[in-house]
Amino acid sequence: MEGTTKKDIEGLLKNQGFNWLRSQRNRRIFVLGYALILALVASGSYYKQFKEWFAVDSLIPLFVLIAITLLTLAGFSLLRVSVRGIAEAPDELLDERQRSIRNSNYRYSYLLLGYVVIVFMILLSIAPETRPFSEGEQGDASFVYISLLMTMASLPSMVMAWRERDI
Amino acid sequence: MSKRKFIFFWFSPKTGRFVRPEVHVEIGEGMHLIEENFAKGMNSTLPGWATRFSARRALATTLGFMLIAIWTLSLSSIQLGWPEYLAMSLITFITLALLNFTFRSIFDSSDDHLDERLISLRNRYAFRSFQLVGLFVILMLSALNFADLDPSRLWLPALATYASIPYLLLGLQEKNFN
Repeated sequence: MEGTTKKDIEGLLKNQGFNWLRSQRNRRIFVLGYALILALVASGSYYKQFKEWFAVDSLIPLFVLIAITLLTLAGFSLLRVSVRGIAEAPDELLDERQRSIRNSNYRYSYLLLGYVVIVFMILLSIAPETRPFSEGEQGDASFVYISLLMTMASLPSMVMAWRERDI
Repeated sequence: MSKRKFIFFWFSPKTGRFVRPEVHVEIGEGMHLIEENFAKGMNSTLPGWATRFSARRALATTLGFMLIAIWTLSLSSIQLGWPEYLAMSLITFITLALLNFTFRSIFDSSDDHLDERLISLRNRYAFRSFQLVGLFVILMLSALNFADLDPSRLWLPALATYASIPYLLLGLQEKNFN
């Protein structure tokens, strides 16, 4: 259910690298940057030219697409490293203090999720298509959907990275 | 844990304070509970029906069925009149309000109104609720892939589900709450 493994979480909890991600200030900057990337990904659904550009027979759009994908995945991975995977860890891999931190952050994540749902519904109302991978000329909502899924997956880690001083 | 106050703007219907059950224990010539204080402290201010697990589970089940009905209607092409929608919304709202009452709006209360045990309970269910909503969003997106939906019809079920899930889980799982 948590989508992670014991080895993965234990590795993150003992991780000694990525010292630049340990200070709260750097983590907050990182969270803002990552949120910006997700917003940019979602905006892809609203530019017809964007979709047409990807359809052009050239290597540049392909490289841009790969770069965006890698940037999003790298952001997600680094976010997990910055909070040592606590947000996704199951109870049995955490001690009482870590469980308490995780659960309290989930409360704020759930409240924030309400705003995310409202924004998503508004975006969907003004999106050119509600189907994610349509072939229509107007573009489609797939970028909004990808952004929503990444936001859902990252939100607890983002909240934790933002709130906690020492992890 | 962070020492700074995390400011978050959120509507909270909670205005009163909780009556915290207190157990007084004397340490000295053998520990014993002061029974009078214990009984007084454990008295619930909720009406009898609201403290029964079976009643809360019945409310949660009704709410669950209402949510399923709302989602089914929204995802299908069935068009109902406004009286039907009004009745469904009212039943959902009343059930959720009753469930909310039986749990003393615990999920919408800030830390100041709760003791440590209640904070822990609330946060534990926030974790489960987030996971459930995540699963639900994935299911919804996969449904959207195959159906040509009017997004305006999804507002009511989406918001009703978001508001209900924490209390739904509490109602179905939490046996000891008074």
